[in-house]
Amino acid sequence: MNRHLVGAAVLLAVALALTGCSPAATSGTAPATPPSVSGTPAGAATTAPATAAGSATDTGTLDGISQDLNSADSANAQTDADQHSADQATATSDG
Amino acid sequence: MKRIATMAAVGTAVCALSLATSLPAFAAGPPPVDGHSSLAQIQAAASTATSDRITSLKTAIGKLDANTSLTSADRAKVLATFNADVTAMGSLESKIAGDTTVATALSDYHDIFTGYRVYAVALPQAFEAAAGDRLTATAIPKLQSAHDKLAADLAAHPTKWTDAMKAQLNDMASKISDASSHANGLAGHALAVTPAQYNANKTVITAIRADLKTAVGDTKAAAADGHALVTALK
Repeated sequence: MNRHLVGAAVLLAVALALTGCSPAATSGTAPATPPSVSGTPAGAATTAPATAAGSATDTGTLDGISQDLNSADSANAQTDADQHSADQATATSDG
Repeated sequence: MKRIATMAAVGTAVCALSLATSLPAFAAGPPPVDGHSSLAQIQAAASTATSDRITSLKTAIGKLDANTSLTSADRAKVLATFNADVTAMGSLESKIAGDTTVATALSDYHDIFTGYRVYAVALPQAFEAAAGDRLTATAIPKLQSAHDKLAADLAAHPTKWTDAMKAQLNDMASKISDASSHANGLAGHALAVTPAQYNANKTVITAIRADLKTAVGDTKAAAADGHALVTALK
């Protein structure tokens, strides 16, 4: 009886692991990825949904890339404003 | 009687013209203070110079207090400098107003500039630090993230990527790397500059500005590469 229960438990655990419903998969553990040059969490940078080779890049991936680029654009615009403020101060006579 | 009235009118006009021509020159140009200035002239110029700096510093305090890109340590350092300079400008103005000799007033007056360098150092270094922190904390990581996602797409769909697209992705990586090398440590370098260092070497701030401009140019170029690749992949 106990042997049957153990066997069923093992089969269930294997099935859960194979279907991605294991505790590791549901707890948000990111797959191992190479380290990012900039220090960005590597998992965040390479979690694009995988699609079959040769098929089109999915919209979600492109949207994610665009969001990153738009954030960079916004930061660059603010950096321009900071540079302008620095230039204005420097242009003012300081003796 | 008529002659007296005419002379009075001419005199008034001359006075008005003299005042009108002297005010803009005083307001727009450097304070007319030199070794021949009277005590009153030095005190008036000092009042204008310190007030201008206090106004500029308070405006900058408002801007940088709300700046979310500065690290908390850098913001604390910037605000400490600004607040100390505001206090110092007020103290100098009071001291010069109470000075009784031209020599003392002139020495204190020069201290407004050489002792604090509000416009040449304090204000620019704060904005340079804010820009540097924004590059390293936001712009470059976001670009790196976009690059990594594009690289993952290249690995997943190699047949969709032309040689030109691969070259553009390499250029994006190169620009991000170059931006990082110019932006890393920039905020710290900017905030380390002192008025004394500037007095000894006027290019100390402009060299940091050059690094900043290069880093911003690189991040813009990397973003342009990324946008072009997204367009090509659609």
